[in-house]
Amino acid sequence: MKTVEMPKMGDTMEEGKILRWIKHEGDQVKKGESLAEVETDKVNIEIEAFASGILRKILVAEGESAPIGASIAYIGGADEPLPDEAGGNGKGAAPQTQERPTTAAPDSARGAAPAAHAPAASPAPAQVAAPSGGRIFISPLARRFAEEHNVDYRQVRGTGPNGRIIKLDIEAALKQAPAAIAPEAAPLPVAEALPAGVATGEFVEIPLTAMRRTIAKRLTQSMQSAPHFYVTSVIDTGKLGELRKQINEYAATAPNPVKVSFNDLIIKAVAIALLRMPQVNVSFAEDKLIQKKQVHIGVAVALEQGLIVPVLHDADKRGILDIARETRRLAEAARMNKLRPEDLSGGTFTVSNLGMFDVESFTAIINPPESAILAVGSITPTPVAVDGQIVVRERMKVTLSSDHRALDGAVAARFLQEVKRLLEEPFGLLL
Amino acid sequence: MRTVTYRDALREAIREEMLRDERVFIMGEDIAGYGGTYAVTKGLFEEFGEKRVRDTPLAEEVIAGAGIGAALNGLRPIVEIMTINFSLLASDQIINGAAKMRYMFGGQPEVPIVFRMTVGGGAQRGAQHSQMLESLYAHIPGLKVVIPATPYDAKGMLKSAIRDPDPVLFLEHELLYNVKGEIPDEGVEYLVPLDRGEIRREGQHITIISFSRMVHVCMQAAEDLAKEGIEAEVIDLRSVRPLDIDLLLDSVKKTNRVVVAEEGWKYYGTGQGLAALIYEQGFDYLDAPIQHVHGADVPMPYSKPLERLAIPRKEDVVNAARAIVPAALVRG
Repeated sequence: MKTVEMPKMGDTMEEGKILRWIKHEGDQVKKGESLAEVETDKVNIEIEAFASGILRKILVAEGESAPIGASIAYIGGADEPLPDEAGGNGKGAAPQTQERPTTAAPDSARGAAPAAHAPAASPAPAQVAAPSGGRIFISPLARRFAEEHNVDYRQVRGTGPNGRIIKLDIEAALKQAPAAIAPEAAPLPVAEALPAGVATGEFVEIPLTAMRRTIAKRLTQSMQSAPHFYVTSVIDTGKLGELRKQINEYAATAPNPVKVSFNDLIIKAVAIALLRMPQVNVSFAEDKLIQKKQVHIGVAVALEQGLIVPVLHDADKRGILDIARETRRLAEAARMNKLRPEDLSGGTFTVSNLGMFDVESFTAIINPPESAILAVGSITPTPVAVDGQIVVRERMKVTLSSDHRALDGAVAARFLQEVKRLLEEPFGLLL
Repeated sequence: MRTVTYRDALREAIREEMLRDERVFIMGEDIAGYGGTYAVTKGLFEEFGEKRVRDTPLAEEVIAGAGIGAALNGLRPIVEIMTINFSLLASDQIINGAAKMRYMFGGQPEVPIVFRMTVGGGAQRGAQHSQMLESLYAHIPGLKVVIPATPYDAKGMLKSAIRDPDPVLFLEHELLYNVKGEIPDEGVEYLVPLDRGEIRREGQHITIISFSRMVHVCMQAAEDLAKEGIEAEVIDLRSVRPLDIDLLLDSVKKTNRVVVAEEGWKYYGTGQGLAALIYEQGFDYLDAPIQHVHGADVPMPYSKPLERLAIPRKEDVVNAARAIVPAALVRG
């Protein structure tokens, strides 16, 4: 019995997708004949049989992907036992455990589970059938992990062999879709980072990561259900810069030294403003508004694979240094995939800062169920007229996106005014 | 440190123990003047004489029985049975005799005997002379079955086996005799315990468990996997009975994925035993089914190309690992 493996066709190829099988199970194949059409990251190509015999079994169904080197079919004599029953020499390890050799490709294994349901040697064609209804396949580790973190794994899509849910899937659900765990939790993607390994051919198909799917779903929902409106304000950050410098001189010598960023000060200002204007700290709930008594600020953190919004709890009650330390911890945890569910839940307002990317201003999409989000641009030296003189001042544009169902233009404008005042006369941030 | 072959390491162990303890002697077929079928005992006859380096008839049951009798009477015999295949003739002595005596006589007698024998295939010895069979003896309570993969362990474990108060089967893969490795300088004594596995390579993505010659195959497989970003932890069991199960479980807790790789057959062997224990005790830590790499389920072919196909190769280990390490995990 010969194993047909997914060939490597190009340096960047990691996996190939079977577009169609030219030969079918039971067909006689001759060495050199085309077996299947395969889509790689660059081209579609026909793979040829390297041995003659009967195409005994197809392991990767049409539309499914397999990593290079993975077994995709067996060619052999009519009576030869398939490796599943032959015992094999170790190569058969995968079929014997009903493991598909396509496990490395997240999308490939989903649904196609011929080996799991048919007797190993059955000549029946490979079925493409999702594990339908009822029984959920989940690894023991993933099940325990899900239970420990209160994740409803019935909502999680498995990327393991035979569509089995594995630990990575639960981690992804925790990190990227806390909504599946608790409706309050909300990561907000505002900027997009493409998955690594995007090739430059005419086009490539990039399967969605769980994070990307969540981003797509939640932001579409937000944009479609919440009528957004935008209010922009320009803030002079001259005094804020001075204050930050002083704070940092002090903080550098603190027992637990920390560096305070402009964003930390903005978070503090927003938190105070929300405390003073609770009508912004609300959720729209169809027949009522829910006004939150606590101020939890979501802080957008850019990651390779997307964007996540850990939550700084009780920001109004925290001092500046405390905020700085906590945002540092959250950003670090986000990058290390170590965020806890509680780090992602309960946000009542979000701050998204693209200042470091030299962005003058931008508008952000509201992170439901919150009602507003502040988009912060770069601090730029700008000529302005002061008492009839042109002087250069450090200025920053901020744009508030608000849900018009929950609050109106005047409220948004007053809120922004409050934030501006707090940042331009920043001594109040310390009190 | 100095570099010696597995064969030399074994000879040093025997010699040192014979010098250390005059109760230690060795007996077996062609081990005296001829120096042993695999030349392990070369030179010992000249040094220690015929009383302590004894040739025996070609009668395995007799050799084993005589050895057990000597052990019961206070000596420390090392019995060379040439290959595990021939030990089947002595299996009643080993299984019904050596393994049972301490138990059946209320713990009174000790049977401090070492049965040395080769295992494994790959040298075109044919179906009857190429078997692993370690699991046959590992099945038996009352026996210790050790199977070192390196010269360092071969020496350290043989010395421990000789000093052990109970019967120890000491299994040497025929293709390991010329394998070289570092051991401490002459005069530096060391022992390797009979109940501890060893992590040969650390990794976080998958645990590859193996023993004897397959450890070297797995190490090569791990190198290949590393090129794909898969960091494999390779564990050398060193002893199949007793089993260092804690070492395995600790690794499984770290990697959540297991490949068990062995040269022997699939069914009812060491690999399946290991997998069953891990499923039993580490179930909650597994994120994928355990993969089993094993020899073909046939009597070992004599033909060179067929024999090569019947013994697991590096690629088999690599494929088994790939099958259960998700690409997303490696990309991190």
